Amino acid sequence: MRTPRQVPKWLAFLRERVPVNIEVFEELSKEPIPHHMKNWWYCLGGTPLMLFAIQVVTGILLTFYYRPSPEEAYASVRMITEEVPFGWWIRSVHHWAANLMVLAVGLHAIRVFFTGAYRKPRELNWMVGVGLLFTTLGFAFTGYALVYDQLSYWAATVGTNVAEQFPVLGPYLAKLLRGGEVVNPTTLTRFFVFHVGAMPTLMAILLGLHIFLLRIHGVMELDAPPEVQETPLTVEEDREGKKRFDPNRFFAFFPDHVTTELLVGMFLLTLLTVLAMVFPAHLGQAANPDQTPLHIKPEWYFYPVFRWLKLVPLGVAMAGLLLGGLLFLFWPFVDGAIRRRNPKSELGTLVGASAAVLLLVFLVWEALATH
Amino acid sequence: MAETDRREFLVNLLLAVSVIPGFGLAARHVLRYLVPPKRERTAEVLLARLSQLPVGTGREFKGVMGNDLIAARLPNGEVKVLSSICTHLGCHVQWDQVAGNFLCPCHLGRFDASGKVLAGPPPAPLPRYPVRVAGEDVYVTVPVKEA
Amino acid sequence: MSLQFKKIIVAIFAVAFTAAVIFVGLVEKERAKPEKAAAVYADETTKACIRCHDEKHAAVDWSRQWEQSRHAKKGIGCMACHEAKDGDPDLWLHEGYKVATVPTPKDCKSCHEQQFKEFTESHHAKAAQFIGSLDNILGEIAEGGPAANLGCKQCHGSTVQIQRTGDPKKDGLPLPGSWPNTGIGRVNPDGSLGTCTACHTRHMFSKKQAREPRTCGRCHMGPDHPQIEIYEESKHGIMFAAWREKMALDADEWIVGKTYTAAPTCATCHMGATTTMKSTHDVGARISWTLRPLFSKRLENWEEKRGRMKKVCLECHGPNWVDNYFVMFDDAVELWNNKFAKPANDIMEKLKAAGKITPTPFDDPIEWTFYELWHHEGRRARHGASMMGPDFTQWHGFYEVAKHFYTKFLPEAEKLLPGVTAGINQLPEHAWRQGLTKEQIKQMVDFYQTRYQQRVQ
Repeated sequence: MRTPRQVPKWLAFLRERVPVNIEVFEELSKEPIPHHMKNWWYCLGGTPLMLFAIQVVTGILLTFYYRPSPEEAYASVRMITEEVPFGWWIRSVHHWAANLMVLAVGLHAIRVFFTGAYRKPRELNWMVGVGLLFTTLGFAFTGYALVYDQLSYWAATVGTNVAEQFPVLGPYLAKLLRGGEVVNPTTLTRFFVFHVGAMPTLMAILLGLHIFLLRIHGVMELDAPPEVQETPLTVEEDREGKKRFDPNRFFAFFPDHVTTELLVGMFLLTLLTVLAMVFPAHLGQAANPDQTPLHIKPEWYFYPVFRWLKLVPLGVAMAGLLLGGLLFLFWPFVDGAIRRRNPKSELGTLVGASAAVLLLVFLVWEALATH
Repeated sequence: MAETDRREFLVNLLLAVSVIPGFGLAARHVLRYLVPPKRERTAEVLLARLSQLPVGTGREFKGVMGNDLIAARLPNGEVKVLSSICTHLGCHVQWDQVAGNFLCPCHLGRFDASGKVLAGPPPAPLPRYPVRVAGEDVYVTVPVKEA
Repeated sequence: MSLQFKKIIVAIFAVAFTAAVIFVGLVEKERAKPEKAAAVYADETTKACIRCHDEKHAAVDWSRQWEQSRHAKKGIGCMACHEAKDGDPDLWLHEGYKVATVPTPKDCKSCHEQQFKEFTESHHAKAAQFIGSLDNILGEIAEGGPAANLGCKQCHGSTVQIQRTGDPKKDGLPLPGSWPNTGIGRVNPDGSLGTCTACHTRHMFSKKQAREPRTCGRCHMGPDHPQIEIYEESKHGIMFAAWREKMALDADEWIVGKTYTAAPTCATCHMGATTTMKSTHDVGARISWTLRPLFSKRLENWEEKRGRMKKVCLECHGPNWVDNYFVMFDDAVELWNNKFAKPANDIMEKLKAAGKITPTPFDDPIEWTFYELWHHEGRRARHGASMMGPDFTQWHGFYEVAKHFYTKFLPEAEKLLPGVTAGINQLPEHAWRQGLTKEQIKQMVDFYQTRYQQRVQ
């Protein structure tokens, strides 16, 4: 507790009106982070968060000029790209951050999977994370449709038609997305509302939940015995009764971890700006509902699903997607069951590795195929 | 101890100084994006043929590179081209053939052939644009407001 | 990685970010430059034309071409050229508009007065005025109307006939046979001659395209005047092909010696601006010989015209080079005139006088031989000499002139009227036929001995 003589007048002013204990801040800022977090793989969680923040900023800026009606959407995107000063930059950063965000979320999921960080008692956080992954993909899907070029229109058509095939919920889901039996003029507006209103809200809620659960559990200590992993971070009190932590196992959130995040942030900003200049976002031909282009392909992150759908009959494909999805969602419990039967089992790792390889194979296959 | 403190201070200073310019410049770009500066580009375009502007008459031309214009052919044969947007509240002015000046129907503002306010509420003259007549063709130089 | 080190890395990335953002600013500045952004002004009528033609997908690419043209940037739309007044011979009522179906140089004249004047006074505008000439008889009579319509007249120009039957939907439309036609000497319904679109193809009306040698080559090619082929053989053509990207073909101001120096094109020498001369659409302004007829003649004011042409050459070449060349060129033309054209013509006159060939052209085989001698080989030789095409001067030119003169024309004439070719061998140029001189023979024997180690008899 600081002596009153040391507290500046403005701080005293604030503290009377915002009655928060200074120790809480100190505790939060000096929160111990296990040393393994110094590995760069562990930045893959903060990365999508930073990219999301960038998307919100660039997205809002784009909304100043974007017009969400089928008659005007393409023209407004063209205007942003070709006429508004720096419009090409804002749009290209938005485009690249979207791609990087999907990539980062995917890599983060892989990291969490292979470090077993989803294990008890963190299973619920894994499920929130799965929700975040699908929300991110939903953002990407709805976002690209807003450009309303040929690819946008036909990818949206194909996507909603595929969704329709889903058992039980499919037709309803498709109608919800489209606003009708087929893609129609209100579909674009609907995608716009999803992309700009509904999904950001959902994302914010899920993010809040994800971070909250992470903070109260504390970061899982790698290589610690199960009883340590399953209990909150240990802190030790020093002789003066102040809470300290073992510097051999932990480092401080502030300034150490914050600096790491800052580093990642600056790197991302630089990378995005350079990508925006070297590979700016393009504009295809304007959407023509009467003319299907010869080769429709979704964005790269949907390649595995696209390839899967081409390989097996529709019913089998849907069943596979549904089963795969459920397994993905409830994995911590499945893994828990496996490990209860055989604590040394590596089956989980095997399943994960096979799934990752399969996804990669499908992705590359579809990428190389011309039809 | 003081040495490391000083080094730490310098590093912090370096950090702050290196981060600020980038964000500052980016912020300026974003502000330019939100509030694009005025484009001063002008272009000379063929507005009309003299045959389309009989002496004594006036005619409005909308959407000339994003400008709405009104052309008047004076009794002495001269062609004058002005903005057709009244400087009062934005209605489109008309050419009054009888009076030989521009009348705004909304609040009866009047402008002479050079754009000067003759009567009514308009606070400022109508902008005028340079005209060039070459043979049968009437050219006007306007700011490019829209491609 | 220690904290301090990490902070330094952050600072480095921050600097990189700043640099990237500065680059973004520069890219934006470049992008926003006024010249880069293209603005098209289409007045209400033009917009209506484009809209309807787009919707009905009728002949729609002209509007895309027009949008790329300089006309579009200045707001010169459809009606600027296609507006017809009552009484116009090519007035066509179309969707409520009075449309002129045949825009002519008179229409272009309203903005391009200078070019109209130069063009109309030039030989190009007179290209269709060869009714009654041998070529005309060949095309229309010996061959046939349809041949002339799609052959001769496509380059030389037809006389455009407009339908007038009282049917308001069709009156004003040009008739087949005379249309489509963009021949450079076209006779238009409004009395003007020629069409600017022969070279400045619609609807882009591009200077760049008109400056292309191939534009001229559409007509200035072939067995009777292979200018484009000669050009491509010549060093000028080679330089053009190699350094095309340095030619600045789309520059506004296009001055040889200033805007470009890599190579001359057809337009450069025959029309183009130099550092000392303005450009002109009178393609004859720099021509001193006419290489077209049987006998090449010097044109009116030929010294002045020769002087102008030399000025173009002197942009790249020195005076000795230029003057020598023209001496050699003149010599080649005189060679044709004196050695081959005159004797051949004399023989033809004698045959006509003796009644051995009928007054009707092209009904006697020797008329074809004679025609080709001066109209084809003879021209190729002269044109080759005029534009530095050695192979055309020699093998496609004088070689064939000599061969056909000696092995076809003379024997045919002799057959028709024995003795008519008797005087030929007396002429000094043809005396060699009686046998080579002793010196000439020795020269040949020595040559074969030295080069090939052959003994020749």
